[in-house]
This record gives sequence, structure tokens and C-alpha cells, in this order.
Amino acid sequence: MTNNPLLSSADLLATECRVAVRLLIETVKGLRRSGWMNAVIIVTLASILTIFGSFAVIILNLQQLIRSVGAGVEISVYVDPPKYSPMFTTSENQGRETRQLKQLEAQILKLPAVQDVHLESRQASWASMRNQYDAIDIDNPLPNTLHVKVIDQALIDATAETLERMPGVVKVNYAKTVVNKLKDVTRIVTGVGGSLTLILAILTMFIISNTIHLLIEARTREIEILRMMGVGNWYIRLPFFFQGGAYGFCAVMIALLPLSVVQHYCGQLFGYFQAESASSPLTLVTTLMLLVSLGVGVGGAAVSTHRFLKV
Amino acid sequence: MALPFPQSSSLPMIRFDNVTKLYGSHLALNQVSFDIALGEFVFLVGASGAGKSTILKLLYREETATSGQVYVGRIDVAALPSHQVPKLRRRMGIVFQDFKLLPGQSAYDNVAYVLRALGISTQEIARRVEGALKVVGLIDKAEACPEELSGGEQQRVGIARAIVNGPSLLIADEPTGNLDPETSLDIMYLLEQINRRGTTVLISTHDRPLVDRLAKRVITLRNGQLVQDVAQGSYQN
Repeated sequence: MTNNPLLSSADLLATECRVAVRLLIETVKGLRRSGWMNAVIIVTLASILTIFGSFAVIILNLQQLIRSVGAGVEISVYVDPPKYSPMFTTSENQGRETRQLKQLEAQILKLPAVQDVHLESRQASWASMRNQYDAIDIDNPLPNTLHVKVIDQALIDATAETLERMPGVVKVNYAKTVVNKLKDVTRIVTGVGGSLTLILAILTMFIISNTIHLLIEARTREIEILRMMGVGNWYIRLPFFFQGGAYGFCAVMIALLPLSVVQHYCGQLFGYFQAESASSPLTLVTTLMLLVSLGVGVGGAAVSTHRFLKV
Repeated sequence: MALPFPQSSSLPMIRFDNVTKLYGSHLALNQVSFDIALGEFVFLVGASGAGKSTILKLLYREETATSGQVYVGRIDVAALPSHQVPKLRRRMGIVFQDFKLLPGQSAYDNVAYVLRALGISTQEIARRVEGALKVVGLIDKAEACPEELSGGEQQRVGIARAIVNGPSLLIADEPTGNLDPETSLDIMYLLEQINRRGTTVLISTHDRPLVDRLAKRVITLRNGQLVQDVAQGSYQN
């Protein structure tokens, strides 16, 4: 019974492979020992990832929207229809409204910075909105909209000011104002999402750390034997790290399902705003989620092994 | 990297050079010095708290000396980098008073456990484990779990696990502390048999009849001090 110090590189590789297999076996044993705590950890972590991922998807879509809106040269001019008078018939009232819009359109087209004007009637806007959302049955509250295209984005501020002063115009919206509002929304979403994710990540790390601590306690005798017999520190530590990593991986797989639903609704919502939905946020978000979950899983294991595992 | 263990009797297997160990303000060992040669069989005796276990722990680097040097072969144990400690321990076999067997696992699996962790092939594990179980006389009970074995048999499994890696040095901490006198004698004869194959054996015990019966070298400790070191000695108060 002697050690053979003359191992070939093939023998060494075979040894490393056998050690790797043993590490996986030890990891599986650890997961089996953890029992129902596995489910608690994975579900908690998956919930965190769903929250984190959803916020990430929304933020990415908002950023895409900001880019697409920010690059635009269009000003939306909202026009109040003339007060419907009981002295006129409905068709006469509609005729007044059409005349008002035609006059305004002609006036706008005369502006040197304007390239094109396109009318979207309030009836068309209302029909489109009702088509996409279950709007309640009320009178059309939307104004008529004139979509004004300027020649150059540099002329947009001055043109918007001129348009705002025109008769009948109630409000002017264009890239800059929308982008600023969207940026505010993104900041809030990032803050709320980031804080929630951070709080829940710390909570999950605590749960994982405690579970690993219980496992270390349960394996005290085994670990002591391994140490005394000369098994390397990493062989003892790694299964706990792998277990933390396995929690992260399983949680990501679960979180992908609700996340794809969020992305689907984001696509619909941003489609309404005529902005392209972020090209493939799920790939980026999945990668981010994997990093977060591995960080939380392995981090939780690391905290416990550092504090409680003497090797 | 192979650790430099002595191959000839010119270099001691163990050297304690003026070793002092303090646990807080408690003096566990006070300037202890001794050598143990390759292939020796030595008893370390003394009452509880005399410092026997501390000496063993210093040998397998569970503790480090407050002052002085502990050598195993050429290795200055305290100066050994942490990542080399498992390699040092692999060259030793350690036997415990409470056996430290894994419940629910067969004698074979208990002995094979560490070899599997070291990535040794199944065939090689079988060869080594069967060899070790033959040495301790338990090859017929290889499939029995610790719960199905007597105290003496459990300690034999512990010894098989300690020798399965072919160690140059076997350290036993009160190996008969939980056994009846007859079984204790059997265990001592087994350790003596392993010693005859060339393994250096260091046993801490306070079992007077056994020490007297085997008439081996005896190092006596009292209150952390080495008070007697006698070849073919006996247990002295």
C-alpha cells in the first residue's frame, strides 16, 4: 500500500475527472440533504429574479423608446375641436371642425421649417385606442392631432414654440419633452427596481447562507474526517459553492417564464407608442439574471463556508 | 510536490525542539523536546490535560506551537503553507478514540471514502481497501455498517482507514479509550503488527496495563512537561 508518485499526464487528467465527478456527487448529496429548503430558496430567488428581470426589461424598452423618440423630427400638435353649437346640425359642426383643422394645417405648412403635416383625427385616435384597450364606453375625450415633421431636428424647439401659440392648439409634444418625461420614468423604475432587487437579494443570500450553515453542521463529522485524512480544502468547500450555483441556475430557468410574459406586454405597449420594442432584451436580461443569481447563490454559500467551515 | 519524509534512520521521523504551546494563558506544553526515529513504536502517556493530545495536534497541524519547532521528517510543520497541510496529513494515518466513522456507510465505504475524494481509480481503491481490511482482519465484514460492528471492530475500521494510504507515520489518540481491556490489547497488537511493517507509530494513552505489557518506548508528560523518556519503559505516575 504505497502511493504512486509517478503519474502520467493522462493519469492526472483521469484523477481530476474522477475528483470532478465526486464533487458533483457531493453536490447532489447536499441538495438531497437540504430537502424542502431547496424549494424555498429557489422560489425566493426566482421571485427576486422575476422582479429584477421585469424591471430590467422595462428599463431596456424605455431606453429603446427614448432613443427612437429622441431621434424623431416630429411634433405632435393637439388641437381642441370648436365647441359644438346647438345652432348647427351635427354635420355642420363636423364641417366647422374640419375647416378649423384644414386652416391650421395650411398655416403650419407655410412655416419654413415644416416639411410635412399629417392629420390624425380624434375619431381615428379613439378607434385605435379602443381597438387595443378595453376602454370604457364614454364620449371621445381625445383631441385631434396634427403630426408635424420638421426639416431639421435643430429647428424643432423654435417650431414647437410657434405652433404652441397658434389658435386652437392646446398642447404641443415633441421628442425633447417626451424624452425628459421618459427619462424621469426610467429613473424611478431603476431606483425602485434596484432597491427591491437589492433588499431581496440580501434576504435570499441570508436564507442560502443559513441553509448551507445547517448543511455544514450536519456534515461536521464527515468534514472533520476529510480534513484529518488530508483531503484538500477546495474539495470540501466546492460542493457548497456548486449548491449555491445550482440554486441560481434553477431560479433563472423558472424566472424566464414570467419574464417572457412581461416582455410580451412590453412589446404590445411600446408597439402602441409606435416605438420598436428593444431588439432582444431577454438575452441581455437572462445573462444579467444569471450573473445576479450566481452572485447571490455562490455569495450565500461563500458567507457560510467562510464563517462556519474550518478547513 | 512530494513532502520529504525520511527514508533512512539517520533523520528522525518526528522532532520536537523546545516546543511550548499556550492556549490563552493556559500552558499546555512547556519547552518539550524529543526525537522519534523512523520505524519506532512510542507511547505518549500522562493524565488528562498533561499535553498528549496537544502534541498530536501539533504533528498534524491542527494547532501550531507558540514557540519552538515541530518537524515531521524534514518538514517544519508550523512553517508549512496552508495548502500543503492536506499533503502532510495524507502521509500520516490518524486514529481517533471515538473512531470517527460515518454512520450508515459500510466498513468498505468508510475506508474508501477519502480515496474517492482524492480521485483514485475504482480498481486501485478496491485493491487498497481490501488490503487494509485484510491487515485489520475485517475483510469478511467489509459490507457491515458501523452500527453492526462491535467497538473493537469499529476501531479496526478506523485503523484500516488510517493505513489505507500507506502512511509513514501512524498517530493514534487514545485508540483504546472506549474499549474493554481484551479488545484494547488486540488493537495494540494490531498497531504493533503495522509498526513491524515499517510504519512509525505514536500512541497517546493513559492505559497503564497496556503500556506496561508492550514494554515499548514511553514518553511521560505531566502538566505540559516531559518528565520521562524511557526505551522499553512502563507507565510511571
